[in-house]
Amino acid sequence: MMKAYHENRPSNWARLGGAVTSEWLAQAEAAVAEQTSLPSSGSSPFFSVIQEFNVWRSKPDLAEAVAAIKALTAAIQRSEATTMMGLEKDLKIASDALKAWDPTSISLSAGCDLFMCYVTRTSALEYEDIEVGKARLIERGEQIGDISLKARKTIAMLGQDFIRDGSTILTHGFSRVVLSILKLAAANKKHFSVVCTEGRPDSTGLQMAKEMVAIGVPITLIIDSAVAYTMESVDMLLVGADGVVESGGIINMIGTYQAAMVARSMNKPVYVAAESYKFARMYPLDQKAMFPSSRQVDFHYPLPSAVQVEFSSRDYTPPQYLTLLFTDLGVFTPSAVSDELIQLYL
Amino acid sequence: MCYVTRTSALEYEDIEVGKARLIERGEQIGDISLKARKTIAMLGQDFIRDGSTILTHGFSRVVLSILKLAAANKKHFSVVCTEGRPDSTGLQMAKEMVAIGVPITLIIDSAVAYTMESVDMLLVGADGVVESGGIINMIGTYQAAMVARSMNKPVYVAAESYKFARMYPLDQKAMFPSSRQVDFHYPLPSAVQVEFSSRDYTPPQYLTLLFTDLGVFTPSAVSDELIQLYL
Repeated sequence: MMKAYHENRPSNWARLGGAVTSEWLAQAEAAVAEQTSLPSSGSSPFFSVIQEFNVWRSKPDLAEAVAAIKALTAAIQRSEATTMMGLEKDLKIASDALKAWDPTSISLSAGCDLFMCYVTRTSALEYEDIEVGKARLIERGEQIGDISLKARKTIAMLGQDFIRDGSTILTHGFSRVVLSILKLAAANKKHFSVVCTEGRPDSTGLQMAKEMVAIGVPITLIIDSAVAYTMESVDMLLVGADGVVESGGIINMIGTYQAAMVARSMNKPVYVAAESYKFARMYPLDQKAMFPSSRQVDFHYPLPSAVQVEFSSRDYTPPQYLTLLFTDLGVFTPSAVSDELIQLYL
Repeated sequence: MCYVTRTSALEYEDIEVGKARLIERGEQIGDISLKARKTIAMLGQDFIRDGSTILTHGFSRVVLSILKLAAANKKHFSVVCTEGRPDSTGLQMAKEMVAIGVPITLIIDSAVAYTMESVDMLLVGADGVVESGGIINMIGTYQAAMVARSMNKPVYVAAESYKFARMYPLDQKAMFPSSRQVDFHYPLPSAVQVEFSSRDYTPPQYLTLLFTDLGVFTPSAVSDELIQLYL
């Protein structure tokens, strides 16, 4: 599956927003031609997978990976395959289509992989009746969806233990998991304050600030350059993650790497809150090893054309800068992550 | 002021002669400052090799003079500069680099660690050099220096000797506050506090060398020089 990304990379670089390109359409049409059982209504399975995915994704609280799993569950329901192998094939097409739709999203691909892994494992068992097999898979897909929704609650419970009265928490980026930890801590009447970075170019700090004001937590906004300046007066760095990789490191919004480095230099703990479906089978060796994910930066100023702009929107934080990861499977050190990954994917 | 006190210790019979002497000396110091930048440029550009990539933060005319001299000496190097919120110093630097034909890449302040692997050094100016050998500069310098040191990249500071100050900050808040309003391009709820200090203090352990008009120093040598200046 990683090979497919590399093959698609040149065309995907040209897309900065997930718009449907002619290459994607050609790829999709080629996959349609493979299928022998085409519904007469004319709607191919993976077109509706994308639609289904978007329907689920539009719900604000739903994580991308959960939306992907729900979309794949729907794909199973719509599949016309008569054997388990056929069903797997349909599902693989749907999964690849979802991943191709947004190759930069790690949680999306991790969610797809996780579900595919489960399907492959289950279909090894023999089901006499395809309908029973499908029903079992759908049921499991919905279970995984429910587990993922509960994941955030579990992490909130684990994470809020680490917030003591009087502590100051520095956060970078906007993560709903981190938000749920802070909300639960506030609901448990803990007195703490939050410092959040502006988060150029996404202005994540402003979103976080509004949320903190809503729950009544004192919030200070700092520019991204002021992380080291304020690090002396905070007690911990708490971030979310787009993905957790095999080394135990994380991929998150750009700026996380330097915030973690600064925190470690000043002996402040770095806590990461991530659901288990974000564990991805990747092992980046340096910053450029990840597939590019770009975001246009508005400098509010016309730039000379000769100026190049570095607009990667994510960076990789190696495990030595992280202290603990709060996941729905428990609280781990970075080194324990690869053990957990092995268990998940075996 | 030190010079004035020193001079007036000598006796002048005529106040006019004394004033004239001090004015003359004041102008001399002004010339020394202009020459200082040239001296620093000559010393600093030696450290720029062909093919090197320089990361810079903030807009310093001393750093600019080093880069201009290196470019004039036909060295091939490229520059990466941070956006420099909220002053947009990066944009000024980018325009200057385009004017002298040096390849320039603009990065947001959060991307310093991300790009640090691919640069060879961090080169900054200073608003002030303090007794410990550390520097006071635009906010963000401290974390850039910290990241550079973690990744074993040298941190060079270009500062004229008149920036040496008799201060010894023990932490970030020890300096007199210098605020700059930050425009977030977005209406903020009133309950949100904003940290708007515009400078930070970089301790000497994160600095490699300081290029000054008195020579190239390690941070620990700075206090010796300061003593000589102020004695």
